Parts: sequence; C-alpha cells; structure tokens
Amino acid sequence: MSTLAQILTPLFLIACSLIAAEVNTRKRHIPRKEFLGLDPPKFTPSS
Amino acid sequence: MIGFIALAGALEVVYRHAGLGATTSWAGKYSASALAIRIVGILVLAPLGEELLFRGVIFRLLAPTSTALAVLITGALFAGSHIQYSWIGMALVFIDGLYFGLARAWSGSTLLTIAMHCAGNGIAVYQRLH
Repeated sequence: MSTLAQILTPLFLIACSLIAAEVNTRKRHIPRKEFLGLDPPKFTPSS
Repeated sequence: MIGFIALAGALEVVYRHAGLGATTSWAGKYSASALAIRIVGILVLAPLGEELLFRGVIFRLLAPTSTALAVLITGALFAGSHIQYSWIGMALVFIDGLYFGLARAWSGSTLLTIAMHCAGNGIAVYQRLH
C-alpha cells in the first residue's frame, strides 16, 4: 500500500497543479508554462 | 544547485550528530518491483509533484502579494506535507523548503527547484540502498 502511495500521491499533486494552471490560463490568460514557472532559470551575474 | 547539495550534506551531518539519523536500509525489505516503484516515485514523481504544486502553483499565487511570504508559506506547507517525519525531520524539510523557495524567487524557475529536489532525494535513496 505504501509503495503504491509513493506513485499515486505525486501523480495526484501533478494533476492538481495542471488543473490549477489550466484554470488560470482560461480565467486570467496566463500561459501554463509561465504559471507553473517552467521557463528556464534566469541568473543575473553577480559583480 | 551546488549550494543545495552542500546544505543537504550539512543538514545530514547535523541530523546524525544529534543522534536522530537512523535511516532504515531498504536492503532485503522490498521486492525488486516494489523497490523500482519506490525509486521512481521518490526520485522523479515526488519532486515533480511537490515542486509543481508548492513552488509552481502556490508560489505563483502568493508571490504578487509578497515574495518573502510566498517563500515562508510554501516552505511551511512543504514541511507540513511531510507529516510522516519526526518534528526535527520536518524542521529540516522546512529549511529545504525555504532554500527551494529562495531558488525559485531568484531564478524565476521551478525547473531549478525540481532538479535540486531530485538531487536531495537522490542522496536519501543512495543512503537507503547502501
């Protein structure tokens, strides 16, 4: 049971996140990728 | 990324020196298929799911109000989601959560925190396999 939970729990979290991103895309027109922060990291060089 | 690996190592040393670091080995405890499922779940799916939810969705919703608040609240929720740990374990997860939150705020990317989380969980899996 706990082994199955190792897979099902994160899958549930992923599904919730994708649904939230989809809702925001439709209501607030924020791109899914941008909403979830899936753009590559931006590093500002330190002086 | 390197900073996080150093932090994870340092926290591990603190954890063990405090006499709290009895990690149970998986050797002989699970069948090969159960072990494979656990490793995929812990190494790939858990970081993906937790980071998408905490540093993706929740951080994004809170950040316009206050970045510091977003870092603190996502860190606290992240620690709270690891209720199966002891209080000291949850405190260490909270520190990890703060570090992930800061990385998310500075880089603007959840991809970085997913990679960091995978690395941290990789260390934990390695310890349980040896």
